Amino acid sequence: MKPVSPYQLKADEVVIARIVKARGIRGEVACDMETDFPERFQTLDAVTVVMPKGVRLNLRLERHWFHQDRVILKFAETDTMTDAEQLVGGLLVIAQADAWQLEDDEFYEYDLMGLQVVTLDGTAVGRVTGLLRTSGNDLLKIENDEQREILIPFVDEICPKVDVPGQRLTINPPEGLLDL
Amino acid sequence: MARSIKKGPFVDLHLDKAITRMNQANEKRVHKTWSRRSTIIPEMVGHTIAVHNGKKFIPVYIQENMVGHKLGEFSPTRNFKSHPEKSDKAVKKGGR
Repeated sequence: MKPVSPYQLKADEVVIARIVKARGIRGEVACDMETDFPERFQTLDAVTVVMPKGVRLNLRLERHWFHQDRVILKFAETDTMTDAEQLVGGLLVIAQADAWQLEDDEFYEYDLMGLQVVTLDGTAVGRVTGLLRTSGNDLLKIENDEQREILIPFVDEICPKVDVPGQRLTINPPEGLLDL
Repeated sequence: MARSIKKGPFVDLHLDKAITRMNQANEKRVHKTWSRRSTIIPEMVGHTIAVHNGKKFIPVYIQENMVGHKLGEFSPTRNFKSHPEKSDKAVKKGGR
């Protein structure tokens, strides 16, 4: 069963960080990054924090820095540890329209979800339902009509054509891949 | 201590035979294996090997940069359940 989000995000919102704890006594918060582009924080000024059950806060980002795998944020509106603790559990979101331009062979995870998968000869295989990241190539999780999960390596040789606007992924699976 | 160069990389015999057979026949079909300990050798590049992770077979498309690693490194045995919200993460064909 798929997990259900307690946050009521808008369809065009993307999460870039998750506030995990207050940090220090001046109202800073430590966040887990949910973005592959940490440079993004340099250009952020006003941000929206979405709390569970849909409470939305518009905050101004004063400064940020990176510490180990996390980013530390200081908002203009939070000056004490107590203020910062109120934000724990919140998500930093941006509009999907502000997403960065990617290379031709790169795609946002959310763009791949739900794509209709067909083979080169047009046979329907199923829909993309998830992604499995491995230390080699990433794997697309595809669910067919019988609710069976199929894993497909996301490489040029097997996924030659990804048509995001057309919601279609064309695959050229080697013999036996769809029967694993 | 590192493995002696004289011996060459370790590959389970049955897997080595299967890859040689496929290369001779110029075949590209998925080969199932439980041999996570086998080293990836250049002859495997371009093949898709389904490596068992203890529960199911994970297809691994062998690329040049994987040569010298073990097959098991690319077939994770633990599953990380990601958060359900849309995140700003990108996927690159062929891996990052």
